[in-house]
Amino acid sequence: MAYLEIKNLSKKYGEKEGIQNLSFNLEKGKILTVLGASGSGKTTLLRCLVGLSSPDQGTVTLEGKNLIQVSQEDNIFSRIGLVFQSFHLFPHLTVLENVALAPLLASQKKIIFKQKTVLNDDRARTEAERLLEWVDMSAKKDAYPCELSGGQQQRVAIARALALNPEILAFDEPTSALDPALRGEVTRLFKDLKSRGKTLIVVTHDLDFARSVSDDVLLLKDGKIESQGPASEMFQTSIPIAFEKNLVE
Amino acid sequence: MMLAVSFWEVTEALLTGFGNSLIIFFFTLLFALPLGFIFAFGAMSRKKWIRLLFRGFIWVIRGTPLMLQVILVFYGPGLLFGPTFSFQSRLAAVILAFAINYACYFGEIYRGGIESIPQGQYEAAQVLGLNRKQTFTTIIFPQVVKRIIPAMSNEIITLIKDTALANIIAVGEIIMVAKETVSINGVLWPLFFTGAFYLIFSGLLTLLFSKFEAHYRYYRSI
Repeated sequence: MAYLEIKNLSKKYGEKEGIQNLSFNLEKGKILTVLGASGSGKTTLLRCLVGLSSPDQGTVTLEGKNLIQVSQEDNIFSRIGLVFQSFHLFPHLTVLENVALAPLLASQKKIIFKQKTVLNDDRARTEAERLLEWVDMSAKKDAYPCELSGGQQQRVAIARALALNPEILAFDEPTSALDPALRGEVTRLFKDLKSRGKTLIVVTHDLDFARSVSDDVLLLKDGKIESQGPASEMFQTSIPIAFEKNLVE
Repeated sequence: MMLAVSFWEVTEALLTGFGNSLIIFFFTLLFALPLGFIFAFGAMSRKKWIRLLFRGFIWVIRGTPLMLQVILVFYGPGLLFGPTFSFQSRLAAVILAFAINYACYFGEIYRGGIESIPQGQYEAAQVLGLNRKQTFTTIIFPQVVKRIIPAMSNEIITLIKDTALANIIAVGEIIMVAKETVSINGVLWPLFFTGAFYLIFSGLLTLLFSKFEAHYRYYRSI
């Protein structure tokens, strides 16, 4: 049984096909990159995986459990985390509050964040501080997102997504909002996440970045799988052809 | 002919009138601020008939003069359903008309604030497993408050001046008292003095809203 199994996943937006009958498997602890031109269905796939869009048909099975039908108690969001392309940090909360919010609310604590609130839940606070230390953002824990650079915002967004301890972490275009000089830092962060046993799904346009982090590659064209396989093979054969055909940019 | 009238007599009369203006002002806020949320959510409802109903109502209220609404609310029930349904208190009729009118304006401001929050904030909350109530109270509402302060401060300053419309059904607010003082005593200065009451009160409101804005300046949208 595959760790993550996607079967016949389809999603239409009106008359427009988003993705059509996508099926693929992913092993635990691997990094899968999803490549394809704009409009190929990469983001639609990601949205269906994390529950932001409901697929019209198909299943997403994680360790034998269909995530699309899971109950509220064991909801999809705690199993697959997402780091958005433009991070979507909560601007009125400090870095620490951004990271601690989901675990606090999940533990049914009644909280209202006010200006310069000191979090009084020790466990959530300690865990959030540990995550911020890991992404090297401890020094900025009391800052607001508007005071951070793009790279710092991304690290906070990663810490926030990890706060619910998801088994899989998905990234939408992780390098697009960053200075090219920060690409190496993201690559290191991804490898670190992998070494901690996280499974990553990365949607990207950035071929160099994909080459440096991927274990497996999925190439999409018009909402369908054009080719898939281990990164070493894909970057030897399919990707150069896809690049010539403008299937990747 | 000019009659002698003391400054203190005028001040006392104007203060009584301004007391009524303040009663209208505070009770209107008390009812209209929460009622505005009902109008905002109604106007954003996913059900088309609810949306149309609320938007239609808001269109009628915003499209007709508040003075007309005050008259209608005060005289309407008695004329339509008989004297038993007449308002016993003129002040209550004014407050009802004002509350409905201002709730429509506040509702539109709330709606604008809620709709101005980027979709990404809702999606980020959703992927973190927040339910709709948690998303609204913890993520959306605090950001909406910051965005609507300037528009709300405008409306609330307009409200104190609009209380003058109550004199159309003979509620003794400050302008009515001032008019009576001027016509009885044949002096003009109580009118300027009345203006000072409004200026001081709206000045205090301006200061209060500046404090609110400063309080929310601790973050910027990204």
